[in-house]
Amino acid sequence: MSLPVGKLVVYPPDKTGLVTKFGLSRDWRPAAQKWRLKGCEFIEPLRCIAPAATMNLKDFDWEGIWTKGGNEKWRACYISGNPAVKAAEYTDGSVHSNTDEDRYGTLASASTYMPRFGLHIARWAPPPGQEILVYVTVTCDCQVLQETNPPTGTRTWQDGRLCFFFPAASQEHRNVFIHAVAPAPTGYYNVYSVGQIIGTLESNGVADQGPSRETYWVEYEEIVPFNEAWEDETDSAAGDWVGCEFLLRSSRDPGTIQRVHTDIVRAKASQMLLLAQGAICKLAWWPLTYGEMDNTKYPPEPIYPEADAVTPLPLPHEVVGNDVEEDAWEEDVTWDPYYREAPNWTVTVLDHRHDDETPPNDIDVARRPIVTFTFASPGQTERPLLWNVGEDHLPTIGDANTAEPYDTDATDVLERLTWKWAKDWKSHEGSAEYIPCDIDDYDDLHAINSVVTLHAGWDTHTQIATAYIPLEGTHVEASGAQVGPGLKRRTYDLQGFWQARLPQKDVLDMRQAGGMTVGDWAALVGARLGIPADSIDVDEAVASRVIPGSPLPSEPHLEARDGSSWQTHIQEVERAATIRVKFDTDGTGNMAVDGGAPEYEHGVSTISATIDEASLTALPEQMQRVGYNGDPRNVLKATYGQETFRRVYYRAETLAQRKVSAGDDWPLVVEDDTAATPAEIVARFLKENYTVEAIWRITIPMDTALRPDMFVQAAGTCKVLLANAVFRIIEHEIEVTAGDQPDAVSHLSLEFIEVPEEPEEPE
Amino acid sequence: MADLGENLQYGTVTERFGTVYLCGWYDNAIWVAASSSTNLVREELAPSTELAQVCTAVVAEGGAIPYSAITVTDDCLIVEVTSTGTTRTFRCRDISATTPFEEVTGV
Repeated sequence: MSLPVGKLVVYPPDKTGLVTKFGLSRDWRPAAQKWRLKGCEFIEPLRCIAPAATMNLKDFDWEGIWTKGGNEKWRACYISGNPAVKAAEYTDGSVHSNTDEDRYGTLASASTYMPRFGLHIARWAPPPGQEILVYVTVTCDCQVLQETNPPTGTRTWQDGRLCFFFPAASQEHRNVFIHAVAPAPTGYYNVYSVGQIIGTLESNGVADQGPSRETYWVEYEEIVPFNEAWEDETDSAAGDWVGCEFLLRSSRDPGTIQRVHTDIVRAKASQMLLLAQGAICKLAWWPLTYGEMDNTKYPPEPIYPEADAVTPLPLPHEVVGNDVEEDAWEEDVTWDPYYREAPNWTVTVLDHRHDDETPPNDIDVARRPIVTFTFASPGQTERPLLWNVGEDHLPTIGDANTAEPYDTDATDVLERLTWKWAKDWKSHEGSAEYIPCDIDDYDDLHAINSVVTLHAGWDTHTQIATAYIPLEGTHVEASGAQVGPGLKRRTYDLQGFWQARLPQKDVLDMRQAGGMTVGDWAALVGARLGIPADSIDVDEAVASRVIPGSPLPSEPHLEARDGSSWQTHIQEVERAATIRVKFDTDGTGNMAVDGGAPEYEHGVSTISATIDEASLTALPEQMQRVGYNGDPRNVLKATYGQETFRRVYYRAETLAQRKVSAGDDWPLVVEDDTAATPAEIVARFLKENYTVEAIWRITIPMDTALRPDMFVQAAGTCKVLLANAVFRIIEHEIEVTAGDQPDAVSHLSLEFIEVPEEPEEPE
Repeated sequence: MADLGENLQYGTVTERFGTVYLCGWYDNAIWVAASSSTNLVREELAPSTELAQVCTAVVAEGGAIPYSAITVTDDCLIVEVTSTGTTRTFRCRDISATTPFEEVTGV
């Protein structure tokens, strides 16, 4: 006959070491006045830093290259200035009516461009009595998102036309605006009667009342590149698309960038079409490029844009007045730039260079970053966008305590042991009860925060878990009636790392998770929590997954603010990155990260145990239906998307369905600011609120090999459980009792997965 | 390409947005030429056309060559042609048109 056995081994709290040098992380966010910028600019509306385009006018070398259209009234000329540049003059300042077919002239480019351009317009006044609107437009191809029936309907991108409209300011038509229309109209179209205006630039030249010279700069950025956000143009589940940005500025106020955000229009590289009508004007159009050479050197050298943080931030032990040990913080630093990549650019971060060798600026370390944007060749048509720079000083964990542990087997004092692996793989807990004995004083109690390894089995035991004695987890009972004269009973609460240690650790000096890879974040969090690197295990499937940033990535997102809770931070990142952080998966106190509980795949997934109702009859408590694995609802209202681009999605059971399900209406309201589509919300609703299954609590003889996530199957003879049904273990609690009637059981909480269909036997 | 003022007589010059306009008499007509380049050579006003005719001005053998003056208003070119004590005004809203100048009669 097998007998259950169990023991505890109690180690000092610093069994695996502790932080011997503190770690520190910081975010260096782009901001005005806080960075010295060379060759790059702070884009205020996006709060990012990026290489700047050259703003000067460039030759518009169109003659013989661009194709004249419309009334073809164009001639080549120059525009005076510094420098004088080649231009095209639209020569028709005649009065026209809206029915005149020759009322406008066009120029079509030979090459294709993205809408990143400068446009200079030297306008004459329109003639008195001009009947047509006076304007210049730049038109190119775009695509417009068609949302017929999200999320189950197909979302498609339809080819259309994108128009930048530069009117001669009047009372009625004051502002520059961007217009999109799909499908693409053929020929001339009226922007006021078709399509939609997606944004304006306050031009406000209405009081100029005459000829003027205006320059506009148009830039286009996709925060998540379209090709990364959408697998194809009919991808209905592309959740990464957060839209694109048109950045407009005019020579009236070149320091102010007007941001026009849209998530339903995207620009495409295409032929550019200039159109002018209503007044004589000279136009110079040129594509904006990024990255220049220093032609004052021979041979010319690239001038790489740089952003240099102004104010250094010392480490705590470098600040006079702080009461800390010398060199208590790690000085080695790694810099982690968070940026939108661009072809042919690399972004590197180093410690600030020391050009000043005079005290006090000649300190050995800089404690501030300098970001360099390095281009492969000058004249790039795209540029990277720097959202944030992370600074990391990783802590050192060492000085492990190798003192001899206390083993309950040595004194044979353990009477009862319980341990529960929680369904979230975090809140594990249990207890240990010692046989009453004669103890002298408080020193006989185990120290709080001790590391305790749990061992259990049949006849022989193996280590099954690592626990900790929480702050208020030590109990002594001295009762003549209950315990015995002169005897004292020691009991200990046992908890996992999540409950025992994390609440004692406030977050301090940690940077935001948004933008980091899951692997980097897990390593950083583990180190900051004092978990040795070799005890951190990140599933390869999620290690390189980037934790989402804000829809505008320069905004703080998933910050771990000073004084906040690690538990809250970890759970926020879990939700945002669709990952799961688990503790003590191997019984040694490790931390593991994966993408969630594995899906059951019949014939592939391992069945770890079989539940046979007949064999459970001897136990007092075999089977209980204890609740549901979700919160059942049958109506959903989901509000999703950024604040300025909110959409609402409804889903409701039919009347007939509600009559046979709840017999009632149970609405659920969900708001998700970061979701780009309702697909994720619907998936979560279906899993947690719609397909809700009963949870069974089954008690079987102790099986120390079972853990949450494993699958068990009901035997074919089962009557209460569905025969052959497969269940997932969501919680497992063991209970080992010594004494005259030793016993050991496993209480399993199970959620129904499926009754697999066996393949038919071939005839 | 010819110089801006080549052959043109008894005219004047004006400027707008870096383009210099010059008028003058030549070959029994008043003409306008334009240049925006630094070396002031004539530019094409319409394809293969470097001179825009303002009006005809036939001068008999030994007759007086008419004076002409050009200015730029906000929305057009104005040319004044003075001949034998009479001044006529011409306006151009489209320098590339087949007949770019029209006489302004005040009616």
